[in-house]
Order: sequence, then C-alpha cells, then structure tokens
Amino acid sequence: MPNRLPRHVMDCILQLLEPLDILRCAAVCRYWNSIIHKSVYIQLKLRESLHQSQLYDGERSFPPGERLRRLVTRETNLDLLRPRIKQFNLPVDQVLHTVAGKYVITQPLEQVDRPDPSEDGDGKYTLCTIWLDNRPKKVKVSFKPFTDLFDLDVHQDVIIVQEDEGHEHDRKTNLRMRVLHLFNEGEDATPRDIDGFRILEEGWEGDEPHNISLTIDGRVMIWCSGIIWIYDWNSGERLGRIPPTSPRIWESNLGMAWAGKNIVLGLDMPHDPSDEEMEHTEAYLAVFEVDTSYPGTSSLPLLLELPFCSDLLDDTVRDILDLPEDATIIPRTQDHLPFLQRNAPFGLILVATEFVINEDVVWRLIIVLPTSELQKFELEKERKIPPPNVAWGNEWDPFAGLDSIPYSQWSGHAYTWAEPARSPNYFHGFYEAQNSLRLYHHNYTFMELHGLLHLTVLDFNQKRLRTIACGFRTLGGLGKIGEVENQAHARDRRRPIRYKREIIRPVKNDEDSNLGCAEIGGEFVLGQKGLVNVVVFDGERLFLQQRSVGKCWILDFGVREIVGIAGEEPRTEEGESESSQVSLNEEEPSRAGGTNPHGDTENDIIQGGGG
Amino acid sequence: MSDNKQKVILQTSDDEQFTVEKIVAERSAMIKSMMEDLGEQEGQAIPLPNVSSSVLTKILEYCDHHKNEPLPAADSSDADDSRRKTSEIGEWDARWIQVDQEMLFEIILAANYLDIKPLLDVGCKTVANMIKGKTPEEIRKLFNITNDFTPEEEEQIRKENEWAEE
Repeated sequence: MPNRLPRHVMDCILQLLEPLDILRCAAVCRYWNSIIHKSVYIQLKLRESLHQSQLYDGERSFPPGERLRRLVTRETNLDLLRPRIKQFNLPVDQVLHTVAGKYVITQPLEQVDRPDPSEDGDGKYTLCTIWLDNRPKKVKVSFKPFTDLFDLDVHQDVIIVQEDEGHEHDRKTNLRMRVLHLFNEGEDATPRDIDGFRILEEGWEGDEPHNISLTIDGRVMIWCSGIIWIYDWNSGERLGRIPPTSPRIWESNLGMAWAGKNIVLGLDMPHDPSDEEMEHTEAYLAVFEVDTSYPGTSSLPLLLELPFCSDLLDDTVRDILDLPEDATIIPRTQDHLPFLQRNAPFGLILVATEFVINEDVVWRLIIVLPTSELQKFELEKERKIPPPNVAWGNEWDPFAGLDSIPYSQWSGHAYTWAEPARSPNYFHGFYEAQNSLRLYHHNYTFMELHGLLHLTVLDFNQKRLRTIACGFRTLGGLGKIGEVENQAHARDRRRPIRYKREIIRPVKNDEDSNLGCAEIGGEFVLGQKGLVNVVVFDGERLFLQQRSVGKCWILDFGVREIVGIAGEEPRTEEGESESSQVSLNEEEPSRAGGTNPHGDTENDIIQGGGG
Repeated sequence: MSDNKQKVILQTSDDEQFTVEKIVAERSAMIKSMMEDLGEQEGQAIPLPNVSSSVLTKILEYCDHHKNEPLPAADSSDADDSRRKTSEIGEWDARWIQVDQEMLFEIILAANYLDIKPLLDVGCKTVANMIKGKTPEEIRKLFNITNDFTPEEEEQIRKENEWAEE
C-alpha cells in the first residue's frame, strides 16, 4: 500500500530510518530498493554510517560494512549534489595562474606591471599576486631583464620563483631560485634568510628549469634539461639529481610527480641501449625512493613497464576494446604523448597515451596507479639497495642491470581503461567531488566558444569507473556499443561497467547571468554566457575566471553538506567582496544541438583492468 | 486579507462543499496560493479533485488544531533538516493519526497534494515508526507488498542481509 505513495514521499519515509532499517527495506521490493539506491540523502546517510563505523576500511570486510558498501556501490545519484558557488572579484589585469591549497595565484596580464628600466622605479616588478581570503599579496622581485615567473609552487608561506641574473648568446647562464616568504608586515613578499639557490650545474644547457614542485618536508624538485635537481629549500642545499649520470639515459621526460617520499618519473628509454638513435623506445615509470637517512642518496628505482610501445599497446588495447582482428592500432607519437599527470590528487599516478584505430579514430589509453599500491610490489625484493655512501651525483647508472616489472605483472594494481580522445587539445586530469574522484576534460576552445566543460565521473570510492565517451559513432562498427549492464557487473566492482547515459545539456542563461548552470549527472556540463578565460582545478574545487567582467568563480564540490537535491538550484554564497550573488537560473535545458559539440546520444565504453 | 473570520469554500472529489476559515485552509500551501490566484472572488469554491470528503474532514481537524502556529517558511531547508532528524511526533498529532492504514496513506497523499509540510512529516514519521525494527517479510506483510524480486536476487539479498537478522 505504501507503494501508492509518490517516490519523493517514500524517499522521505525511508530517510527517517536508521541504516540497519534501511538495509532491511532495500530487501522488501524492487521499488523500495531502487529508491534507496537513488536517494541522495539516503546514500549520504549510508556513506556517513560507513565512515563513522570505520567499516569502510580497505579490504577488511565486516558483513555490515560489506552490505553497506554494496548499497553505496550500486547505482547512486550522488552526482546530483551540486557545487557551492562562490564568486569574487579579480582585477581585469590579473590572470588566474595556479591554485595551491587556499591560495589563488594570479599573474599580471601581459606583464603590465613590469616597469620600464629606463624609468625610475623601485627596481622591482610584480611577479604574481597571491589571494588569500580575497586579499591580495604581491610577490615582487628585483627587476632583472630576464626575470620570469616560469613556474612556481607554493607551500605554506613559501613561494619559489625563478630569477635570471644574466645571459649570453640567447641563453640564460645564471639562474637563481628565489625563496620568498609570503606573510610579513609589508605588502610585498620578502626573501627568506637564505639567498635562494642557484642552478648552474654542468650539463644544463638551453632549456629553462621548470616544473618546480615543493614538498611538505622542505624539498623542491626542478626539471631542467632532462635532469631533475632536488634541493632543500630551507637551506638551499642541493640534495641530488636524477639521473646521477648522463641525461641521455632517457630520451624524454614524460612528466614527474612526488608520490609521498618517492619521485615518480615517466621515461622514454631506448629499447636497446646500443640504439643511439633511440628509434625504439619503451616507456617506463621509474619510482625513486628518496632515502632521507643518507642525504643525497637513493635506492635503485623501481621500474614499471608501460604498455605504450607498439606491441604492448596493441595487445592491451585489443584486450580492452575487444576489437576485430583486422583493426589496426597505431600509437600516436606527439611530443606531449604519453604523459604523466603531475598533480593528480590522492596519491594517484596517472599516465596516458593516445593511439589511432584504423587510421581513423583517436583513442586514449589511461592507466591510474594508486601510490599506495607501490607498497605491494615487494620493494625489498625488487630493488637493489645501494651502499649508503653512494651519492646521487656519483657515477652510477640507476638502470644498469635493473629489470623492469612487465606490465602484465603490475596491471592488476592499476585501473586501466580506454576512451575516445575528444580532441588533441583537450586537457584532462582529476579532481575530487563528493568523496569520489572524477576525471575532467576541458578544451579551452569549447570553453570559450560554448562555455562547455566536460567532467566525467570516475568513481574510485565506489571502485568502479563510469564515463561518457563521445564520438563512439565514428568507430564505424568497431568494438561494442556501450550498453547498460549494471546488474551483470555489479558484483565485480573492480571491473567497470559499460555504461550508457545521456549527456547533460547546458542550461540556457538569461541575459544577466554570466555563469549559467551547474548540472551534474554523471556528466557535468557548465554553460555560461560569454567567455571563460581561465579554468583551474584544485582538488575538489574548480576555479573559473572571466576576465571581461573581472570576476572569478569557485565551484566547490566538497561533500561537507548536502547542497541540493534534484530539482533544486545550487546554493550560492557570496564572496567577501561586494560581489553580487551568482544567479543560476533553471530554465528548460536547451537541447544539445548547437552548444553540445558531441551530440547527446553517445554511448560509452570503458573497461578496466584490475583484480 | 488578514481578517481571520474570512471564509473559503473547498470542494472535494465527491462534490461535497466545505466552508472553512481562511486561516485554517491556509495551512495548505497549495490552497493558499490558489486563493491568492483567485483573489477576492466571493463564494467561488476551490476544487480539490484529489481529496475525498472523508479525508478532508480528517485533515481539516488537523489544520484547525494547528491554525495558530506559524506557517513553515516557503524555502526552509535548514528547518527541513531539523525536522528530519527527529522521529518525535507531537502528543495531539500522535493521537489524531491513530487511523487505519487506508486512511493513513490517504492522509499522506492528501498532505502531499495539498502541500501541508508538517502534516506530511507526521504521516512519514508514522509510517517510518511502523517499519522500524521489522524484517523485510514482516514489512511486506504489514503493508501487503508483493515481493517482486527474482529468486536469484532474493537469495543474494538474503545472504547479504544475514548479519542483519542475527
């Protein structure tokens, strides 16, 4: 008889129950079961209970925990949770550069702040401005002709910037990393006690240092012409370099990332060391454990083979996509491919490469390896521990005689899937929302033209992946069209399901609003009137800047509270400045047509390794 | 408008007409907004095609008892939360809602239709209290719900729920 009640009323009733009763109700009938799986409030309550009871603890499988996990594992519409939206004003001459923790870092637009050396000034110019609580803090350095904010990183109150002290023949010769102290009485950041540190190492030619990356324990690593320099930024002391020998060990750096105390490098290495031309390269992940007990030393790296060379890629992709035998798979060889995600959150190492099927369709292979999984590689057995006196700078080849771990042996620790590449100029990465990790794609052109941003759910908390793939039609019969097979795969949670879902359409804006909509439903599409110039992700927050109106938006996807349910508007908060409330209107969603670059009926196929 | 003695006529699905004080009828957000739409048209009955006279009689009892309480704010998500957290039902409400199941669900449906939030809450809490502590089979029996799971699903769910039945 309660089944005469409308869904939302039944939902209200079930919300009043304790988790144990909710579990029992899920077993009453299909209708109740589906409500429990799809109610935001109930799902949140179950999740909360899951965490509070500490039952959600890795592989430990208490029966209630397992049951709860099953409930939250199945189809949920947690995606309906909306972001909290905050707006603050940003001067039009500032460009959103980076977000690090609670700091928003902007740069002067086209260096308008740079003084003309011929004029009398204070001899400094503004490198960047740090915004904390909407208050600016300028980072100025003494003016030198080549000083540049090439890359920076912020940790606590420290910022490291690069200053050039001289040059000859079009190349910088005297580079100094300035360590600046942000919080002091004055408006400007001030140099710390130490005089920064200089990078004047042998073998450094040409390229400027970049990818400056700070760590909690006071280290900074800087990529510079194929060598990674590691410094202690408290003392300015050099800790070491990778590799300790010639940079010719690898052809290119595919990216680098801190993974706890380890450094992870993506490397191209010659297939055959005698192959001077490096015609056949293989890709590896090299994980260096930086040994703190003997400063300047490192154990030998853990070498993980990546399935990016032709043969391996072919096998891996065929296995994942179930392609017909006559399909051809060709790796794409662009400068930026494959790559390693530098700032993936939550200790995930993300590597990706692209390939072309039948010389026609571009797909992307993505491998995500949680750094916690690195512990499972039996490091002691796999690694050779060097003598304690072996310094980083000494002449030993970290890869000599070292066997790599074949992909087939470690793929079980990683999530691997393939998806159609949206376009060559799509950027992607991870962010966190509602306790799950999501993959985002964005394309500046689309952002500017259509205000479209694609976010794909990739839910690691639920141990499965869901995504929307675009352009599946163009496959022309290759592979299988994605179908909803939720139930069939529900038990095997490590194995992502094939998934089919409608792409959410952007909501039309009214004349006054700049930020149009924030619809989440597996896919998140942001539509706004006018151009968004800059988009930056930081963990669970998304920053957007629209320079033409001098405003910046923060979309906070944190799970601290329920911010909306289906049919409700996202809650808005006002920034500290006099900014007006962001108005989000809820007109009828416009059919994709002109604004959705991908159409709206694409299917989806993803597959995952794992086990 | 603020004249408490002002009357309004409500017409039920079985064509019975009820003349009630405006302040009582306004407990229903739906009737309130209809009255605003209709304006001051004297003697015009408000049709309630989804509510029978027996249910409306019962509901008007509730509305009359609560007529002097402040109306819940139109958009009160915080209040929603605090309301949700407690499963307490007021003493009068608890006695008032001691009705047979058929009537209980009619009341809930009508409260939903008429948009009387506090009443909907009382109804939901009453049903929730009926569910509490019962096994799935007991719940099905109580509400006469058909078990529409396949035997395989049933077995799966039974296994998952074993711990809960201990």
